[in-house]
Amino acid sequence: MIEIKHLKKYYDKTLALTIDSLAIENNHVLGLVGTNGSGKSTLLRLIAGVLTQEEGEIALDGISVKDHPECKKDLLYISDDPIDHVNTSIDSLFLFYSVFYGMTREKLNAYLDYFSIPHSGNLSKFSKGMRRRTYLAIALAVEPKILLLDEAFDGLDPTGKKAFILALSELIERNDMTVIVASHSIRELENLCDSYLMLQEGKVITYAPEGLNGEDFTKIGVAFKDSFDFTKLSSPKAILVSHIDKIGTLFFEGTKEEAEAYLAPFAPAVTEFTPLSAEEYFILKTEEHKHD
Amino acid sequence: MIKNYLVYLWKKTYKFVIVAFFVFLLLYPVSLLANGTPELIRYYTILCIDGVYETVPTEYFYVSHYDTLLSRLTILAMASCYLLPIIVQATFQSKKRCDTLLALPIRKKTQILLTSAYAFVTFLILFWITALLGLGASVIVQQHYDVPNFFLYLLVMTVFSAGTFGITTLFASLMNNVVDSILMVILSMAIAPLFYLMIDDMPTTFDCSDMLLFTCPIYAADRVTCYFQEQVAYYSEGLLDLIASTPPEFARPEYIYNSFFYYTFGAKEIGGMFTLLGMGIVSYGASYFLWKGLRAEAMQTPSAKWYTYPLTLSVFFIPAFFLCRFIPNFETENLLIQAIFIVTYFIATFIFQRKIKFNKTNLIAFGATYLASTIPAFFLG
Repeated sequence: MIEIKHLKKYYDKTLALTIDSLAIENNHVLGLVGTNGSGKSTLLRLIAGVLTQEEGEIALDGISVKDHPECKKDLLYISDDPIDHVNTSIDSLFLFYSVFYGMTREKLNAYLDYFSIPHSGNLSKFSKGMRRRTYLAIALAVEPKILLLDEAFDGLDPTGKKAFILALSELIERNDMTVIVASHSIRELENLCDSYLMLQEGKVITYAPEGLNGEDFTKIGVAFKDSFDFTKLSSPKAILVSHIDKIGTLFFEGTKEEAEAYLAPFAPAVTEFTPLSAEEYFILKTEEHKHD
Repeated sequence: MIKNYLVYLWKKTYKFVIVAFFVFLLLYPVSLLANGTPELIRYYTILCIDGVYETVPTEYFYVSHYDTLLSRLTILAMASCYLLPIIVQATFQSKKRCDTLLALPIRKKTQILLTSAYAFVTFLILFWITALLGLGASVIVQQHYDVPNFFLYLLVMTVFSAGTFGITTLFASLMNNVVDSILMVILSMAIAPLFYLMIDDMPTTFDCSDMLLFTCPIYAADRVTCYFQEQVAYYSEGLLDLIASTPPEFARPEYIYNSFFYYTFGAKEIGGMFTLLGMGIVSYGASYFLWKGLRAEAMQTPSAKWYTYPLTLSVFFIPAFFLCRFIPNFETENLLIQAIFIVTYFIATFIFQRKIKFNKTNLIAFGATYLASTIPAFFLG
């Protein structure tokens, strides 16, 4: 179990991340989402012990990471761009990860095959996607108890993303694994994560233990017969996302029935109600937070 | 995990260690050749055994040969050339690699200490093997040898290396950032041989080597080590035997001292003290502002202009020269030497410090380590 309490991390004097309390159970997949600079990587780096916090505590199974780095023995952290590629080969990566994490060559080769990566070669000659797949192969081959992945899908094509999600899901099912994955690809996270932590400007704006399903919101596509001033639709409960001439889209906080009641005075010609996707929910929350 | 770390270091560097061994074997004759010794082969074969001081008959065996500048420089260069690739290649290759390393369940300081210890131990093993081969060759070719001196020499060089490695390790581990600390070590070790070269036989009344105490922790480490070397030399049974068997005119303790460990020690004049202090402050001040200029340029901020560096250099350089001019007994050649020294330092600064993060913590760590490594050396000297 990963526990975070009263965490505060500063870069120089700027508060980069603050989390009052967070507990991530074992065998759980947490998605970290947020805009650029929201603190996702900082949080992963703090848990991995790459950075140390100024205040608060991060504990793995009750042991402080800061005071007892040895508690990280079952933790693997794959950063967004882990190692300088100039002198890094598959063999040198294997050397490093096999010595420290007990990975076998057979297992690594199997995952390299799975991701269509050659068994040898220098990473400087690999494309960005190939490098990413190589590290993901390592992450899977190590089979750590706690896996921290920063920008897991960065540089991957749709096939690569799907393959990784599938392989990781299988691994999670087979082993007791806790995974924290930070990504901008919310659509991909939807297929992987049990819960989500949404960060913005170093603060938690939403913790969604049941997923980013946006149950409290309704997405409304609306069209009018004549030109319409869509700003009239905006309110604390309704956020106007986009509009062109007579057609617009808005997010409404409430059920479909409540949305219908809200729109009735404006007499729209057509209305279409759909549930929010995780990505839309993320945009909504980010916008909400900006307005706050 | 510590065992794993050492296994990793070995697997990562064993090829380099093997190559280094052969390089070490070659470095000895090169060092002697550079020293202008005519009988290169002979001296190489009697490595670690014979004395070569012109005034001393060769039948009296001194270990003083190994105190010549180039011999010591060779050892230092060997240590530097050996330590740095291991640290840089095996571990702290880049900031990205640092992230991966810092995520390991070993503390950063433990990693640095283990790496340094690994480098030190393997260096000593190679060094001892090289020296033993020299002893063997000497026995075969010369049919004579002086085992106590030989082992005294090894002991002294072991202490010397330990001092150097120890200080640099301490220096590195006190820094806040792994990359910074390694770069600082590189900076120190890379410029140390240059200083050694600069002070070689300079006819000065105010010895430039004094200044090194304030600018080069490696040199300071050497000073500290020298102190212990002296103790070893004075109390070593082997050396006392040697003195006893030497004609009285060569057996004076100061001669042994001079021949074995000769360096001019710390500044003896109050003016010199101020010079050292002034130059130290000026050097570090200049480095800091130069770094700021470099960083400004790197970030393409308006504050960086083409004249940023020369201007910054002048602001610190010109007062430094004036300061030096008013020091009693400070001669022109000293000024030249100092100019070379400062330029060298700045070049090193340009190269290395642009990658170093100069935040308050690092500066305090740097200053504390610098003082910790230089002040004892100064007083011991």
